[in-house]
Amino acid sequence: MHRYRRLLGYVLPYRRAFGLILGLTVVSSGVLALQPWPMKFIVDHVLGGSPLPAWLEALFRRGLGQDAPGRVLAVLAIAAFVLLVLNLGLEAVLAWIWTKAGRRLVYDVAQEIFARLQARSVLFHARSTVGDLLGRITTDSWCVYYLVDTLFVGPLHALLAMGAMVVLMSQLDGLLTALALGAAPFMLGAGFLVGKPLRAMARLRREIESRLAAHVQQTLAGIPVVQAFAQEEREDERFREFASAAIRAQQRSLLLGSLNSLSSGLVTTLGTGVILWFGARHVTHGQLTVGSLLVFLSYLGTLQAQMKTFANLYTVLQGFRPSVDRVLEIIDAPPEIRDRPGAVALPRVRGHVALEGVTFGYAPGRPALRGVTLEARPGQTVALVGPTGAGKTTLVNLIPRFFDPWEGRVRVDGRDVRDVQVAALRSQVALVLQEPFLLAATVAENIALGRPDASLADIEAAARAAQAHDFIAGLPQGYATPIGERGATLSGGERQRLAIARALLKDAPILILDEPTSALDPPTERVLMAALARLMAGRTTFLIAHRLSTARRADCVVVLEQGRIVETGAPSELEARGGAYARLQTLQSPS
Amino acid sequence: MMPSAAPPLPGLFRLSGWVAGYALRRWLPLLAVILSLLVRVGMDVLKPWPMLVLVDYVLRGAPMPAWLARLVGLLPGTATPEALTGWCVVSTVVLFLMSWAVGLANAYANISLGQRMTYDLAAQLFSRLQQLSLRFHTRRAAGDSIRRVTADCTCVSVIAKDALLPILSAGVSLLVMFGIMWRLSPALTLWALAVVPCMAAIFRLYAQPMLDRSSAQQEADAGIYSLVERTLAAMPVVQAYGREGWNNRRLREIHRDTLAATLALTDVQLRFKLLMGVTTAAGTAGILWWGAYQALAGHASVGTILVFLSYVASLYAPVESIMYTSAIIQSAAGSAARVRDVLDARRDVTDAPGAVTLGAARGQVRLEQVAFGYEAGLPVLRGISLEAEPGETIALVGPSGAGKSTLVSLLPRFFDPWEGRVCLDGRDLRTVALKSLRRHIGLVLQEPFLFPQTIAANIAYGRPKATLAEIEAAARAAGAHDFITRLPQGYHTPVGERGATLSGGERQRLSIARALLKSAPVLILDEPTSALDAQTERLLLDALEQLTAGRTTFIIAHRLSTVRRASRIVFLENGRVVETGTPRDLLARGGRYAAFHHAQFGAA
Repeated sequence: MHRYRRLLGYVLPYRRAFGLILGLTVVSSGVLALQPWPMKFIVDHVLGGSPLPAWLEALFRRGLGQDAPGRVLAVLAIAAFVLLVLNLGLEAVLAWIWTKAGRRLVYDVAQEIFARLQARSVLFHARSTVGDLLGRITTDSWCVYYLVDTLFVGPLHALLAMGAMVVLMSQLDGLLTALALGAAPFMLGAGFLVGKPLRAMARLRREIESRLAAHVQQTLAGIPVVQAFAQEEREDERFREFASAAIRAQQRSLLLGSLNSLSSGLVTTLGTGVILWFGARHVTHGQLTVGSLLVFLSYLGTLQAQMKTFANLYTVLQGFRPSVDRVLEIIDAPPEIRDRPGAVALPRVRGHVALEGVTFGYAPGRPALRGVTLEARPGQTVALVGPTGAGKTTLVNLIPRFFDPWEGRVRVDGRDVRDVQVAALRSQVALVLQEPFLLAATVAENIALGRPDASLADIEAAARAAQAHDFIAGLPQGYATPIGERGATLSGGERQRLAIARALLKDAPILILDEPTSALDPPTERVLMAALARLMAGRTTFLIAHRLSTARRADCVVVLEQGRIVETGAPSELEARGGAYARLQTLQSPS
Repeated sequence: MMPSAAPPLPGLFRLSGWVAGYALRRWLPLLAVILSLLVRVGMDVLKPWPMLVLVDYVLRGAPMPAWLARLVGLLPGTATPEALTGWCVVSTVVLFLMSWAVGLANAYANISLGQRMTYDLAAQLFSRLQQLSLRFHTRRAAGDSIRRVTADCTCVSVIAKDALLPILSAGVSLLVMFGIMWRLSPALTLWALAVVPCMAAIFRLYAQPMLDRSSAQQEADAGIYSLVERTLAAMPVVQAYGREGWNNRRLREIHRDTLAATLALTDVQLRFKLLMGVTTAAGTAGILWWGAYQALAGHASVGTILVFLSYVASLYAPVESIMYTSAIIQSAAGSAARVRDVLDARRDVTDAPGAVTLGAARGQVRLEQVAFGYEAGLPVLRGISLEAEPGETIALVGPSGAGKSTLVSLLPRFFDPWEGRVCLDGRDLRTVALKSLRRHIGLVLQEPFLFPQTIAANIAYGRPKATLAEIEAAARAAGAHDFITRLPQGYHTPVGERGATLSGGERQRLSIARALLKSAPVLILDEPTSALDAQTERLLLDALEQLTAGRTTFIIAHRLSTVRRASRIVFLENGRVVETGTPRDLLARGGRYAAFHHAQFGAA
């Protein structure tokens, strides 16, 4: 239960709106309770000829002058109309207030999840699917809306309306009132019986549906492979399997829910029968008028509907539990990488980077880096070379603190990166990755990613330096051209050039280049290397490159193998040494 | 604009035929839905009658009309008012129970039908999307196509459930109830029905503004999705460039806009609802007044008023529900348009009539004067002619954007050329059955595209029936076996989305193993090793050499070390073949290729 309380904390800022809802609900409950009364007076007094209550009689005499049935009838019909419209008006105002407050509530939660997710480590994101996280923000966040609706707005209205009706009913007939209330506890019991299996069912359903969505996503994303390997039919078949599983889960959860509604339905029906029976007897014995019996029956309908709010409370709460869990899982988890208490801001660094005995891995017991120690002086270029899986990318990811090492430490300008503010650290590191990660925004916005306030002139200058200006100018809308989801309209080389322009514009003292040119052809690469050289000038650069021709220009080459440094030194020195680096070089040189 | 000429629910009538097609395919649940609906209408008709009998004839003691007296006389023990009361109570209870049961049956049938229709449509759409050529897919964001399958397909069940069935239900109720009401009191009947045109008029007035604001609201809502999605997909860049705060502010802005759009919609919806409510309240109060007035004159009874009020409630309910859900229906109509847009998309790459199934192929490939582009007027390939003998390895070299990837995409018929033709073993590809053609072509792309299945299933993607031994052999040849066995569950380790737990090189080795296992006579390698380091590449080149032996291979590579082994080099620039020849010849010639070569390795 505490998990719900935890979420209801988000409600507090909106207590004024909820106060207003409370006040209006009181009024609307009264109006709702009065609704069947004009009908009663018409049946009993206009048609039945029994006298009106004294106060009403007096009211009519003063207002209409004399007791003419036609006029009384007209007044009662108008009263019925006014009560109906009043109720509608109140409901509309309530709906307005709740829509506004409820949406704000949901957006607050969504905002929080989004912010938290952005603070989670790159490792967390590599292990999660975008679709799953997206669902938490856009769908699961609504659980707070429904929770408040089921826990507060619905029951409040039900309780108040029931209270008003019970008071009025007991005026008419004590026994019938007691009978009507006697049925209530039975209705409440039903919900608790099937809560657990219903919850399990809801989770299963969600799982199946998200598997279906993932299947569609993966197949369409990999469509060239699907088509080349002619697997369309098999993928269709798998889709149909997922779909029928989803239908079965839906049907089963409906049947399970119907068990619940069966029990409450039975109680409702039998309750109505009993009251009808005793009510009719009271009428024939003259203890009750026909009009009053009608009022009773009308109340009974309303009461039972309201009671359902309570009976379903538990079931509904349980139904939202998976969503609540998924929301809290994100909100409550501390980000892996965060500012230590007392973390200091980092003024612009000179760019001295040192790793001291760093060990790190993605899974326990499988270190990807083992005791790595290396140093880069300000302005130096360090090239990392080695076979796939040697840990080159992992190593450079430690510098902007995408993750923290298991052992050892990373220092920038002599300070342990865990002692400085994460944002301050990252603002001093620019990077160009193998995958350019263009956003679905315009070309200009993509370049200005690290400096959203950059002027167009700055953006253009960066693009020119990255050799991207010419092709951008050739695009239909130039710098304002939007880029497709997968940057589909740009070639790999063009996309990478945008990423380089982006890094140029950021102008950070530390630069990470993770195979920035592996997607480019040699002439473009050659030209780009000149641009990169300009970018690297005066910056501490970590460069991962396949082509040793690139590594040859570094001040220092570090050869990694299986997470360990096997060689380090100036390129010429290593070449002469005839070790691992020299072997790599022989592999790559033309025959 | 001519709002008065617009039908009440634009396009609904046009759509209903399309939706009915999907409903009829599932005739059994459809039958269940219609039957339960008819029974429910019957229940609604019978519901107020025990009360009428109780109030008029038992409690108020009016004499029964002859037909009713005869009917009641058929039941045992109805002589005393006491016993008649009992019968009224019992029939009320029974009616309640039955309508509960029918309601449940109706809900079950609705779900069965709705879900089946949705998934039938989704399966059809999914299947069609897979058949559409890459030309379709490169133009659209994958997310857009995914949403069409996973979200838009619910439109058929929404239209059926929220529009067609309520209309049917209202129609049937109206017919039956009208008959009974008319017999009870024609004047009251006219009064009750007078409300309907008023409702229609109000609806006409509000339908368009509600639809407009609803689509504005949905658009604002979609903004949330796209911001969140693209942010989450690019987390390393977001964090490295410190965009978190900016993104949070942007989301807050979008939320604010969405709230404003929602409130604008709620505002018009509430006003509409109020007006509709006032109309039905006028109808109800009017029946109360006119009915009682008639009763005073002895032309009607209290019971009649009760029956009327009950019927009016049953009649208004479905009419109202259609009107309130009109925005939902409208958005479903929008979804339907998006779905049909894909279903109706011309399949540009299809089997020609009489296409032949290709048996064994030798692997001779010929391009004759091929021109192709992605957009009209912007050719990417211009008059390319090229021939590859069986077993030959052709390296395509040239600057980025020269058309190398486009050229090889023509071989498995991802696209058809604008002009000219592509032949395999002398046969125009367009005369060959697509499936049999693609069986003969292996493919390794720059992006490996792994699927969220196990490693083994990924390698066996083109041959699902391959044995584990065959899978292992392919993995060994691709240099992938060692790292696979080091994974926690070996070959049964599932691959995460985007193959996140594997390095780029490891992913590529899996895709090479996949191509190896397929063992096709024609092989396309589109920069297969650009993601691998030199050492791994060296190992792989040996494996690739085994693979390419005896197969016609087209390889695109930047690194000349890869290209060097080709029997022929084709140098492309601006969509044209500029030079072709053996690596040695081209180097000696000192043309474009030679310049390219020197650009990489310097003058040395």
